[in-house]
Amino acid sequence: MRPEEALARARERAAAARAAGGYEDPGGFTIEPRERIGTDQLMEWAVLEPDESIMHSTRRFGAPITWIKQRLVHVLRQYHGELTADQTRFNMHLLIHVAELEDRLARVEAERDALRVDADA
Amino acid sequence: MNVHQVLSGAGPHDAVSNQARAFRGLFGQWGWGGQDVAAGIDPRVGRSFAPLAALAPAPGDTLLIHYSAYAPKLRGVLERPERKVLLSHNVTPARWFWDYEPRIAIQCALGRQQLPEYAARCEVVAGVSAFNAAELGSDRVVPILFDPAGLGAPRTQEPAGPPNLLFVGRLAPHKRQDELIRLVVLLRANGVPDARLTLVGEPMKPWYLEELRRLAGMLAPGAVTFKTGLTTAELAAEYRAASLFVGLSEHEGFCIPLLEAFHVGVPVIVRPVGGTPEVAGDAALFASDPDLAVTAELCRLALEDTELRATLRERGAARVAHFAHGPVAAQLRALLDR
Repeated sequence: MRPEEALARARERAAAARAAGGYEDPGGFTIEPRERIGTDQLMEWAVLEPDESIMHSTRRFGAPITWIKQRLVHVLRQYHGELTADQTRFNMHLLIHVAELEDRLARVEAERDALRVDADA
Repeated sequence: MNVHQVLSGAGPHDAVSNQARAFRGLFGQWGWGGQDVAAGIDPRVGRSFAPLAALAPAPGDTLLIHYSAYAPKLRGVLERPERKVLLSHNVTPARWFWDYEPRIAIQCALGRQQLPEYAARCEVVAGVSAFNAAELGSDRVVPILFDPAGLGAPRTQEPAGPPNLLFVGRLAPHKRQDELIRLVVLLRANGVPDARLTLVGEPMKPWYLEELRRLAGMLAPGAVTFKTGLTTAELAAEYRAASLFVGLSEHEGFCIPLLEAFHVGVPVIVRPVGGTPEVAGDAALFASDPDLAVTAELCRLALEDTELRATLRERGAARVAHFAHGPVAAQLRALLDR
């Protein structure tokens, strides 16, 4: 078979196998690109909850450095807590404003559409 | 002549750092001087790159900016009076990272946003593929300088053992290792019960490797092997043991592993995205259908049909010749020479 013929042949074989009950979806998580970030997702991301365990050293044999860095983060947790609380408060209020603006825009667009219908009538 | 290379980040295994090292070797052969600097340097890199602050070009020198990520610290380089050449290695679209690694997503989004500005402020703009160059309105291409020496000679016989699919690339969302895991599951359930998959590459983050391991363990226990931090000799052994190279990435600026597979003589199946069609030419089977069943059948054909395998091997060798060291070095020199 020439390479140029392979795709058409593969499509035929896949269709035939499917018709015979083959190629069931194996499931499991699937990577999905995120084209547009919705408000619900932004709300979830707005709350900062850093995980201490992600602090690590990239050095070879860096385990002791990782341990020290994680302890350092731990002892600074009160300070980081203040900072993340401030940032989370800002994020949440900003998102609430955005959500309210979206609602108002939707209402204005609906009213405009209704006016257009009346004018056309 | 002095050419200073400027990178946003230097790492031990990434394609851009490897390319900069290869370029420096060529510059040395041509009798050119200069130094290589990076805004961020992985501690594992050693002394092959100096911090950006060490950049001290003389009047008349050339600055070669390798652009592959958001790099606010490189902005100062744009202000310099020396001649600037931008080589775009492409930046992955942020949409692949928002859900998984926000810091990388932000860097990708900003990186793509600032790339046109960088291009506008450089005297010469090129890409490592026509796809990359076209994004910047350029038609100047300097492909990746591919040196197969470390991989040894092309293999002369097929690997023994069960069919082994191989993919080499960073463990990251847009590389779609999750699809490859599902692909091997489908193959095992549909005519190739002993199919195996080897995934070679550095994880974007340790947790992402664990997620993929969990997926593989759940869907195909024992059939998927992950290998990281390989030496060139170990990588060559993986290619020699592979029945097929399968790449289902959703974004590739160039994809060096295609050339590596061609060199060793491994038939290639790849998704036609970004720079892969121009690198693979007519030497690969293109998995253009999103339906994994079709890709699985392409794999079965490439595993079973000896004539098809032989043609792909032959064409692959021709693609490696197309990207031979000499012509690419000449393209690089033409780009940098005044």
